[in-house]
Amino acid sequence: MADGDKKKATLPFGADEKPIKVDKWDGSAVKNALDDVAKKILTDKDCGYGYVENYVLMDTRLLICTVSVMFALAALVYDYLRPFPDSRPVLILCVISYFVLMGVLTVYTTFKEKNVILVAHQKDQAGVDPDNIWTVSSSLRRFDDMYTLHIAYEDGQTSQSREASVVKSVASWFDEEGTLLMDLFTQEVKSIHSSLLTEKKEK
Amino acid sequence: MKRSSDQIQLRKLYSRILNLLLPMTSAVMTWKGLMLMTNCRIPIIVLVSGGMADLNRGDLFFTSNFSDDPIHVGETMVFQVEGRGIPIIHRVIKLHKKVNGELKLLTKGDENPVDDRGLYPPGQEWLRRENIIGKVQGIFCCCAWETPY
Repeated sequence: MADGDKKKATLPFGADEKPIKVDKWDGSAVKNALDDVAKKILTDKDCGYGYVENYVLMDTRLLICTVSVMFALAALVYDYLRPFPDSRPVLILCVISYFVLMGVLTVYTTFKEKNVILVAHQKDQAGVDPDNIWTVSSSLRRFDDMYTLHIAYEDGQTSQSREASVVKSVASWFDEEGTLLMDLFTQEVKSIHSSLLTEKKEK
Repeated sequence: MKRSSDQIQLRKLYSRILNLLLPMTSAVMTWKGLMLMTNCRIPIIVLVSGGMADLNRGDLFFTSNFSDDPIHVGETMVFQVEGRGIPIIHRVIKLHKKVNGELKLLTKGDENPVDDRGLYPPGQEWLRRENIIGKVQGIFCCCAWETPY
């Protein structure tokens, strides 16, 4: 049963879309371009697999940051309204909370969020079984050209998980001018996706 | 489809705003933390104009303001008087201490010919504890970036 393959990604991606072009020497732009395409392949309803993106991971990080900023603003405002010696207790509270939260943020991004760029749910067709969860992470070190794309699949019913990754030079998917060769990269992503699904069928 | 792309755009934008804010808030909180550690309103201060021996424009001073750290004649203090926005860094040359602990200080810049009475507001002959921002504990010299006038 080819339930994963039912919605095939159409190639090229949205023929009406402009080809993606980046500064090939700008590592962060290159990584973002590749990440965005990988995410689109998994989540796009029309030309991708249409999985539903789960924002919890990112939202938790945004929440931690927001609370930290609130503490900083509170300290600023309170110290302005009641100058220093009077503001001591409030300042102590805010400063300690802020740095504790920064610690929490660092631990969170290092251990929980890591390199994850997407968490998406593959909903069951019949709406009965629990979702399968796809987690995509990627990394591209500074000044390095080797891009790692890692996809993890967790089956909702059996709770089994499998993962696969590909490590290639970004030169494999970009041409001399920095235009992303959509077909090649899409093919790469799709093949990892299929390999994770076919592995499941064999078991 | 558009709704979910709006959602991700919103999150990306907010994430970018936070990435801009966080370094700034970290700097502010480090400053507040220093204030708390030194008990001083201005824990680090830049010298703007000359007037002291061996202290040059552009030097950074680390100040502290502990109540159990007594002030002695000869020590360099950072103080601020009403009417003058910029704190002044000069040496204590005279000190009177009342029985109840109240202090009266007279300061002078090393290279000035006269004491600071001309700098104090009219009617004020001595500096009081409230005018003191802190005592200079250390100097980080030769920073020499542009100081505001």
